[in-house]
Amino acid sequence: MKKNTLKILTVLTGILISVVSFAQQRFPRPDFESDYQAPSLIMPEPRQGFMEYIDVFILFIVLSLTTWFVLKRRSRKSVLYLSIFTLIYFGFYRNGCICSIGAIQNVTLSLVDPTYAISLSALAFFMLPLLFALFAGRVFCGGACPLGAIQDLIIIKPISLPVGVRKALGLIPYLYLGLSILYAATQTDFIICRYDPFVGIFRMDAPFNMLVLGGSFLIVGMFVGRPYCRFLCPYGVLLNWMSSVSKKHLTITPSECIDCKLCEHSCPMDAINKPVADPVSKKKDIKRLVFSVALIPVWMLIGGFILSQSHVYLSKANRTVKLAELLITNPELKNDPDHIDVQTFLTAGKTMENLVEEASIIRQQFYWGGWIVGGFLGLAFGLIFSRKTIYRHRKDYEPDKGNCVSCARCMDYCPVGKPDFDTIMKQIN
Amino acid sequence: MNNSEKKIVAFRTAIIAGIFSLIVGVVMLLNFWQLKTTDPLESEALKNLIVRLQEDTRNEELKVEIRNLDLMTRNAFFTNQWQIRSGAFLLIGGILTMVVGLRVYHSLSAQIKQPESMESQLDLELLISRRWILYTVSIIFGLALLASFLSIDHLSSTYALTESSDQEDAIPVQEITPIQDEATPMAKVVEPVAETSEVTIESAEPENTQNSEAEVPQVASEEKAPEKPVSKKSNSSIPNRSEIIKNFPAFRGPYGLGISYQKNIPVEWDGASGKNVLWKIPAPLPGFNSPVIWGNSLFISGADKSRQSVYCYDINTGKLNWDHKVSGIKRPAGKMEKPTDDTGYAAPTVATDGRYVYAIFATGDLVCVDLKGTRIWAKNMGIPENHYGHSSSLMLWKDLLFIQFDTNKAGKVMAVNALTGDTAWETNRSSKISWASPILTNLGNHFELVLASSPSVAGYDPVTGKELWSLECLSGEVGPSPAYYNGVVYAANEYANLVAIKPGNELSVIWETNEYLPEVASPVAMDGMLFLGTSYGVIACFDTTNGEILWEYECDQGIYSSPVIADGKVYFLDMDGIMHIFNADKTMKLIGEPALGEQAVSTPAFADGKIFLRGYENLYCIGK
Repeated sequence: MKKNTLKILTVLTGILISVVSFAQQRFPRPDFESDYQAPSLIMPEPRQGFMEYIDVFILFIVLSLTTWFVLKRRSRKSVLYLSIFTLIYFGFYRNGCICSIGAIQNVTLSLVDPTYAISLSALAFFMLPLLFALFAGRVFCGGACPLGAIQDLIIIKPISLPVGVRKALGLIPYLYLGLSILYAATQTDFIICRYDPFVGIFRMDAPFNMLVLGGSFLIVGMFVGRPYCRFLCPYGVLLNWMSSVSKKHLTITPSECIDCKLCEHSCPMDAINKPVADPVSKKKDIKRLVFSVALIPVWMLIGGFILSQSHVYLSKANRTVKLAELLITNPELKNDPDHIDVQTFLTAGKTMENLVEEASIIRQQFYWGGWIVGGFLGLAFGLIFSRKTIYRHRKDYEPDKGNCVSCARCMDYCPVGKPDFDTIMKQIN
Repeated sequence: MNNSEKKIVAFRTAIIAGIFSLIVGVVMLLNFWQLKTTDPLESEALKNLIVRLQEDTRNEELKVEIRNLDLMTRNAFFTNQWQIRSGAFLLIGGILTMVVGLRVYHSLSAQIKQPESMESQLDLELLISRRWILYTVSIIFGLALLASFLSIDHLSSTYALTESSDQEDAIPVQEITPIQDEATPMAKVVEPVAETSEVTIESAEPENTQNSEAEVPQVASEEKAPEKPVSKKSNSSIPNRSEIIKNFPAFRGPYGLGISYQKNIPVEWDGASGKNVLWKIPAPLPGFNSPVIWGNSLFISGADKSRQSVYCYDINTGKLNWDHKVSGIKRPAGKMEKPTDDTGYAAPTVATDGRYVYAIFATGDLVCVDLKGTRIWAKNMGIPENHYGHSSSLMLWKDLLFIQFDTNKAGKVMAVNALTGDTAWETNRSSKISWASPILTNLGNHFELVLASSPSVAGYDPVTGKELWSLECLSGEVGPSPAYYNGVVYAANEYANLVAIKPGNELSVIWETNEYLPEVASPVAMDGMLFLGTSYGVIACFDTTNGEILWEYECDQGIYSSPVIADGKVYFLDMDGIMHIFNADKTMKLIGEPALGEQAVSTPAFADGKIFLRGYENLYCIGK
């Protein structure tokens, strides 16, 4: 009896969930009795009711499973299957929205605009991967990020980029993070979402240039492991910081490293650190480090000054500023009935003076925002530079805790503990 | 299947999928390029057909052809879109197959690489890393610096009127030059030309305005013209109502109400063939203002970026009596927005009381000249902050000249002493920028100056400038001026409402409707009817008792010129220069649709037996 009741309840719950997920709009579109088919929306519709919490729950489960697969089961295959699920669910089914990367902007906006209420799911999507990274490394990138998953699946013949190129490109995410926060804080745009290269593929609908960008990333991604994650993703910066100090992290070998070097080329993301001997002169290192750290405030001042001076250029992306400048430089556009922005402004009953005043306030926000973002960039660049002044003694092959995306490939290469360990050893010899 | 065979299958699959993807990609690119270049709204063939239809509006075959072509182009457009969407799926499928094939191939071919030497090259790596970090940071900051140098801040460098600049479109501040009396202070804003108090004011009678060549130079500049002393005391020549209604002294005629009291108005002419065109002369400087008439003189103004003029013509011959060049007026520091091409520098219509002619320009320059073209006084009212260009016309009452000055900066209405230019009163208004003109309403025991703007229609005491009543009923950019008849004020604006207002102490809305609304043309009311013309070409007649539509008529072109009632008919001039003439009646009766032969937006002026029309290029006198 109890079993039957449970079955009925399960079926009913399933039906209810289905009904909610297929819920109609409250007001149906008017029927004009024509053959016209309303085009599909480029932006996905908001998640219905509690379904957004189901997304959070699934994210939590995926993160937990990835952690378990990476730390306990040490299974690349499991991580791979999980990432396929992620790609299908968070990518193609959920159309790439909501995602933790874009949630940076929601969080920023909620901090600067008291009238903006961030949804709990957006906050959870922002916080959960960071918390997991703090305790287990970047398991989000390994198994729970659809953008990471699509890039991971298309890696065919990865090449190792020269160290200089890696370091140079690795600075771009900091710039992207700074700018996306600046644009979100000034309510200009959510540039992470606007320029998400894969969202067009997930939604099968995007401006042509975005599809080309996504396609280009995928083609490059066949030979350069996860180019977006490594050289663009702003959320990766935050995950990198958390993961660098994580309590636990993926290890290449389950016990003692035997220095077999089999894992040396296993990481397509170049995130394995080789063993390093003790430095010859520690004094020289320390001198260089102190000098570099002392220069950080200078970096910050230079960055703040330069970005603040660019406020005019940066603010041109803001819709209000753009419209004000457009109408100042082309006043004849006020007569253009086809210019929607201009017509919207004119019918709103605002005067040019109001518009220019609003635009000037926004431009001023960009000025101070430029100081903050520039200062942040100076700090980040200064710290990265300082890190590159010192040796760190390392005995074994280890994953780079900040850059490792927990894809678990390297584990497959480690013979330690594998049943066919002896065979592999023979192959090496 | 052994390993080698698997590799071959995987490799060939990848190659085929790759070629397939490449072909799909190229086709999609071509399709996309075609889609970009085939905008149905920009089809040249369609445009040509539309042009042909405009020339032959009753050609039904052409209409069918246009519809078919339009449908075909749109079909092609949406089919292309569908093809791109379908192609995207094929492309993704192809690429996916290729990737899987290549992955399988490479995993089957993978070999363990020879480990590298244990000798660490960390020292070198760190050095390279530091260098590249420095290079990248320099590039990032360098680009940001470059962007800051290349960016122009239009908000602070262009808009502020208080800052000086050498912007191309800015009108240079002109230094005042003495007109006659060298003792006249240079910086004096109001310029009484002469101080003599004993004055003979030129008569407004028609015979006195017909000056001989010897008396009035064809082109009189302020430097050459003899200055006429003006009495500041005398008001004996203020025209009375009967004199005013005999003439057409302001925008939309006497008191600005859109009603002319002239008779024998022609209803038939043809600008192209010259039928009933008594004279036609090229308009001098451009201007969208309308002609005004007093006696035998017709007055208009014209201006461009660097020149401003007031013109006087003989209405019988079309001869230019004089051209008064409006220059030498000191303006406040700063610059103005360039007016749009469809507004220009001379949109406001001049006003006259038969003694003097008054003109205002987009620069804020206000001038008073006598009927011989001699400047009496001139001043600048402040550069109007107006993104289209100042358009409100002037209105005269007794010795007061009214200026509606609703700008982006602030709204206000001013009265200046018509004889001296001194400010009589100035009332600030809580209005937004507007382009409407004031009208005067006679409420039996007193006159009121009525103004329309967003958000209010308001009445003012013309003597003191005190606001008597105000009603919030409009919105947007108000261009049409109000109408008045028999104790009721009517106001309208596109995207807002048409409102019938009972003004005064019992201020109330009698009715309102929003079926047809004018964008530029002002409504006109008489004998229980209100007429208006829209910018999309609909002419409508409303019942003034309840706001119901009595009749409507659709023109092929929109209407910017304000309708005028004259001789029992209502005259609507559309932008193609076609005059739609109806009986001013509650049932529609189209009298005629004579064409001027050129585009027109100015409001016609009427004299006995004649209509005066200003086209884009020419000034016309139509008569029998």
